[in-house]
Amino acid sequence: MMLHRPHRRRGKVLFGVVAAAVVGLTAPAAAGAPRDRHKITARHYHPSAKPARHGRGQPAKARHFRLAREASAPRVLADAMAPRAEEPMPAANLQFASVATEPLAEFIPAAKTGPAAGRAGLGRLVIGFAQAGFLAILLVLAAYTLRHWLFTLNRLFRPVTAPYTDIDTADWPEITVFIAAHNEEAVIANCLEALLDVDYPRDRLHLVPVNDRSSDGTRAIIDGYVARFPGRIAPFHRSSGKAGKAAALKDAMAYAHGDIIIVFDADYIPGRNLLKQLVAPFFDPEVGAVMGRVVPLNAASNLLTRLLDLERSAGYQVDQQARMNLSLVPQYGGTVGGIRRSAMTAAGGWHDDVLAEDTDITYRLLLRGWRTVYMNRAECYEEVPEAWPVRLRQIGRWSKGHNQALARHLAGLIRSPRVPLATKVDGALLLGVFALPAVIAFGLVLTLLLYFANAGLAGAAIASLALVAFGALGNFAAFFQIAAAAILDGYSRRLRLLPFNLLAFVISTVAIFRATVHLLVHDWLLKKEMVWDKTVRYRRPGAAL
Amino acid sequence: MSTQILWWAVFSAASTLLLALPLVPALLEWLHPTDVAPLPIAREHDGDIRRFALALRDRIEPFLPALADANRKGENIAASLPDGAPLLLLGIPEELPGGPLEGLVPKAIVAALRDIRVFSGFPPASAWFTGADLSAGPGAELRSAFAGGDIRLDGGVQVLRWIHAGGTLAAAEGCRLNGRASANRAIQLGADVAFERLNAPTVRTGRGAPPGDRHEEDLSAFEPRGHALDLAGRSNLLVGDLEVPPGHAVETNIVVLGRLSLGAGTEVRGSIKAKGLLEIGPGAAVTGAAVCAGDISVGPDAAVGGPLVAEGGLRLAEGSRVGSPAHQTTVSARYIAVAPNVSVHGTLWARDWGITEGAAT
Repeated sequence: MMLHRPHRRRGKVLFGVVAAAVVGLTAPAAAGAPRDRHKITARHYHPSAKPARHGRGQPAKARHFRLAREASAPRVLADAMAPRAEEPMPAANLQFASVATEPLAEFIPAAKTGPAAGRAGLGRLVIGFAQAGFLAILLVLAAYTLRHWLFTLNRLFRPVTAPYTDIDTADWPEITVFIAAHNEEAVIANCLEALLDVDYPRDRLHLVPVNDRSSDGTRAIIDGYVARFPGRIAPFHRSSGKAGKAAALKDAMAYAHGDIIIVFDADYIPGRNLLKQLVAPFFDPEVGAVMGRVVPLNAASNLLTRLLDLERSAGYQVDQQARMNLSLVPQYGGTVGGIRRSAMTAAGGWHDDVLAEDTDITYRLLLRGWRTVYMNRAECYEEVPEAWPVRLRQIGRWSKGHNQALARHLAGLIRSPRVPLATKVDGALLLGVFALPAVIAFGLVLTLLLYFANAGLAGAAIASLALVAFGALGNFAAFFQIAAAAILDGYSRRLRLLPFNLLAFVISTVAIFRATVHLLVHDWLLKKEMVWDKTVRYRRPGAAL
Repeated sequence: MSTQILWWAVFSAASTLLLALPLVPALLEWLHPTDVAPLPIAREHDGDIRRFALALRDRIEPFLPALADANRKGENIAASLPDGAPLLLLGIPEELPGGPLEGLVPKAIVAALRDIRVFSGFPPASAWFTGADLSAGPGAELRSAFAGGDIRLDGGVQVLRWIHAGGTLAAAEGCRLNGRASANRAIQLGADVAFERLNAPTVRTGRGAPPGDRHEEDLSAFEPRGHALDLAGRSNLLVGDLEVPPGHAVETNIVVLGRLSLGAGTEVRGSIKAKGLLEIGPGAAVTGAAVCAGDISVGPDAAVGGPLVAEGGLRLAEGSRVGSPAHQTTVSARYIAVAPNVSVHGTLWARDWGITEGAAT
């Protein structure tokens, strides 16, 4: 059952920044360019044309165009917007302005008196807010960009923090492994086979397949293994109740033994040493959750899977490990991970009204003082989507769940007295990764608003900042992270595909934006119940791995 | 006019070329993949320190009848493994130095069923294998070695990759145990022995720690104070430093964001963690794990149930003990210094380097 996997979203931060470069840059750049709707002939802006004196020697439309160009020049907004009583705008000019910027015509500076002056004041206020918003968005995107750089440089030049990896001998605790499954007949057998073969004391290992209302052959396959391996598997066949992985796991807690819960989705194939790797950090009394690394098994299938493979590498090898190195907020990802049961209970248990129970748990533990750790060497194979529609649905689902967590936990995180400042900043940025496309879209709207209002972008300084933050740092930071991950993994030739990741980022951005709007309108405004889509499996039952 | 059109055409073509250029490698890699396999995961790897030793034993196993035959006939035989690696089957190990097969040693796996003694200056074999005991003279160099019995390393012996003893492994003063060293029974370390990763039911320096159950019933209960935040159940999170006075007992797990100091004779019935320095005083005991983001100092005669994990350095003072024969555990730190008469039951793993101190008795 692959309901939500926000742990794979680190890479999605990348496209936010890249998309900012694409979306954010094109609009400001266009602000200085002539447009057809101005109906300006080439000679009016040809470099060889003589500088026109204001209000004289050229048609009214051309004069207005020049005014607009000046407004985009490095002049402060107030200056551009200030009423010029001593130099009233000719009627022809005003008339053109109403054509060029019709929706905002009333905000255009003009010789307004009486009620018109009040409207102009309102216009200045709107423009001021728009500029402040634009600046805020720039700063947010710059923060994400710097985060990319920080994480990547940390991974390239700083030692790895992995104190628990060395724990190979211990009095291993009693654990329960949940295998979340919903119509997983294609993959569940591989997962069970692998778990039956793991290196962990048998008397302390409880395997619990959580068969959540499957309508295919999942139940029969599980029961077949129960019969073949008596006493080793205790299935939980769930035939009713609320839909969703969180709800299923919540119900499955009645079958748990010991204080450590390990969770796998049914398409995962754990290695022999994986359970010990995931359990080892729990000897640290501060650790509430552990996350391992996910590696695409079907990376070679097509271009999409290859691009996802690169994104996954960046998300885990760089993003998660850097957070671990810097004692920030590695994220529990809902699979290939573990949770301390007592910690989760203290933090409120599983919430079944969330789409991203993993993000939700990560933040609830954080706010209670527990730490989530990342184990880069605890690697496990998974399947990634092989078709774009599947991928878009998947990322849309992650987006909704993550933004739901954003709404629930951001305020608490900021207010928390026990979370250090650096952790708060990283935690807030992590919460916001799936809100970024909406922020970028809003930035685009603001940019257009400022353009059509002839308000400019508060001078060349901001334009320069946008250029640097979006075009240079943003783009390169995102790709830098992917490149660093591939090099750290030792497989750098696949980096040749990197330019295609830009395409994937843009597509994903659109999907995330769509999901965000759906969340706001469908789920929150109309108060419809959130639903989840199961990710399609590509492996054939019994296929060799 | 035509010149202008030409310039525009050239400009457009050049621009298109420049834009398309970065995509060429991507297109080639897409259409003719050279790097598409999933990232490798050693799914069969179980983290066993004996992995290489057991792999060598499995490779030699099919040759055991031939080895027994060579042993019975009293002759040395050159053979090769299925992968082409040279193999020397020794019926008379003592005749190898200076014998006709000596030249094969540097690239060969040398196997015997009898005791082997390797001297300094003898060419290091790819691996030594014996079903009996193995010893190495002062200053000898072993790349890797497996002995079904005991292994004795005289002073200054250097192991390059791994060594495993079916019985006891004893390393005298000044040995260098690079890579993995393991024994099924015990590892005995002399003074000034450098090590990386050791594993045995008992790893000791000198006489090892004195046995004894340190559980005291008459200790005063200590409640962690300060800015304590209840994590859950038996855990407490404390902001700042914490010093547990001598002779007290703590019944909860403790996580301290600063420095944690356990006074002499204290007992923590749980696990502890400190973000700063962690000091476990003389005779103190921690029944659970001890974890530190910095350095750990384990005082004389102190005991830790384990695991004992430091992200920085670790020093085990004389008489200290980690784990027990029944509950083996892991000691891990970037740097480890071990005083004489210390016992560690399980794994002793120095990520950068470890060293035994002083003159063990």
